[in-house]
Amino acid sequence: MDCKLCQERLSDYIDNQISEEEKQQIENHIRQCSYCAKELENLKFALESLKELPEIDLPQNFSKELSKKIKNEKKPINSRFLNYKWLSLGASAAVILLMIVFTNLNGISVEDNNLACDTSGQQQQMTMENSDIENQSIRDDNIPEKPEFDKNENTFEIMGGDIEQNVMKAEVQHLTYKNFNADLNVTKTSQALDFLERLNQRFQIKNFNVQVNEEEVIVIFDIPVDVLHDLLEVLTNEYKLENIDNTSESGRQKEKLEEELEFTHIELHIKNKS
Amino acid sequence: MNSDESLIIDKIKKGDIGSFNILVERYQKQVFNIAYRFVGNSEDASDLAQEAFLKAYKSIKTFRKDSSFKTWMYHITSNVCKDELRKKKKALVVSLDAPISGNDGQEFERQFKSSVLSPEEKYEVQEKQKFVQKIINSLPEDYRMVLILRELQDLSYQEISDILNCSIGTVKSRLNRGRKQFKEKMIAHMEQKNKNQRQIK
Repeated sequence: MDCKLCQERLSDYIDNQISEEEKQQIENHIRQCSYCAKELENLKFALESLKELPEIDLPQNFSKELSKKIKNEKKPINSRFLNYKWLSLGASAAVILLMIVFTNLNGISVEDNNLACDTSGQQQQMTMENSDIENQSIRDDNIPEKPEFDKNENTFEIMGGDIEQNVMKAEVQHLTYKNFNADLNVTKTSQALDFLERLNQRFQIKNFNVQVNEEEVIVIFDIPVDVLHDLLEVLTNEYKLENIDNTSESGRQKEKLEEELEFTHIELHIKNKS
Repeated sequence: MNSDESLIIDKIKKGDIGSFNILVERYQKQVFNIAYRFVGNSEDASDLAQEAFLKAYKSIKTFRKDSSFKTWMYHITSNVCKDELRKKKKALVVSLDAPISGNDGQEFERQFKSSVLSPEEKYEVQEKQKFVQKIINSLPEDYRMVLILRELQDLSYQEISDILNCSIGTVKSRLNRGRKQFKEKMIAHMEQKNKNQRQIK
């Protein structure tokens, strides 16, 4: 057995997902190869650190919030009944609308007959579409509230759309702020995205991403170099964030071109209120 | 499918919310923990876990008991977590050497209340756990989920393949690659840390 194959099989070996024969081969190889032996040791060490992670307690209000959400939800069996009822209502509404459309078009003169036919076809389609939308919204009513996050999906699509195509020169700026602003809450992804969206209204933000962990929110994006100063002003004066540290990492410059503007790659760390 | 849960599910299908709460009680902690390790913070994890239960409740009538409720529930959880991530679109380069704030130790305080570690040792353990979490978050989502299910939830290959709706071969290869990436980042971090300590001395 060679080193490459051995290392490829270590994961299965640890979980004993291999044949007795292969197990012998791996153990023989490891006895002779100190490098692979070390690799196995490293892997075991790393997985041990993973297993050591503690189980996190549920947030205090978890069960309460959840049972509230569930109560707001209609009982599964009833909501099914409701859906059918509304669907059939919507369908009969569509039929009535169609009848009206046809009745109206029948009044059009003979010369316009072809046109009338075409139009009625279109109308029919439109009416059907409308009724679909109606039914859709009725169905949505049964879902009490969409998670906040969903609202941001579109913005994300629009703003982050051309990530792959534009290769830009971007000096990496690490900006670290402490959040002492009682009015600014950024402790989860949806809030971080709202924050980013507000920044986007001022600056030309590209290629963004957010990562939220227990101690901080990391917001990553590119902005044109010439507005960097304005961004810093806004963070300090409008958002009342306290600047702790700024470092630039010119070594991590990305290759440019295709874009006339020079962009700075910002990695904004906002430490949570403690 | 054990008969106790089968009965509970029949009751929920007949409209008994109370019975659903029994299942929530039984699985909320694991569901929350899967989400927590996947996203790395408790507010998002709480939202995701609640969304997963709500989805389960809404679609319970389509649950055919082909699998256990647990498998079905984890399947929904995994999908909810990944959907959230898909919205983030671009893979994130997590800054692994980000300075770490020392003022948020409450969560950890609770964990160590009854342990016999010295303050320095506790600090070490906390820092390591934070770091391990950051590495998890830096992995591609497929590898991340399979690692969470295997290493933290201790599930079998068969269970994981049912939850993720993929073959056991796929579970093996994702686990292999996920473990490798995790190991490499972990070892690189430990080496960097040792180097820094030597420099301080």
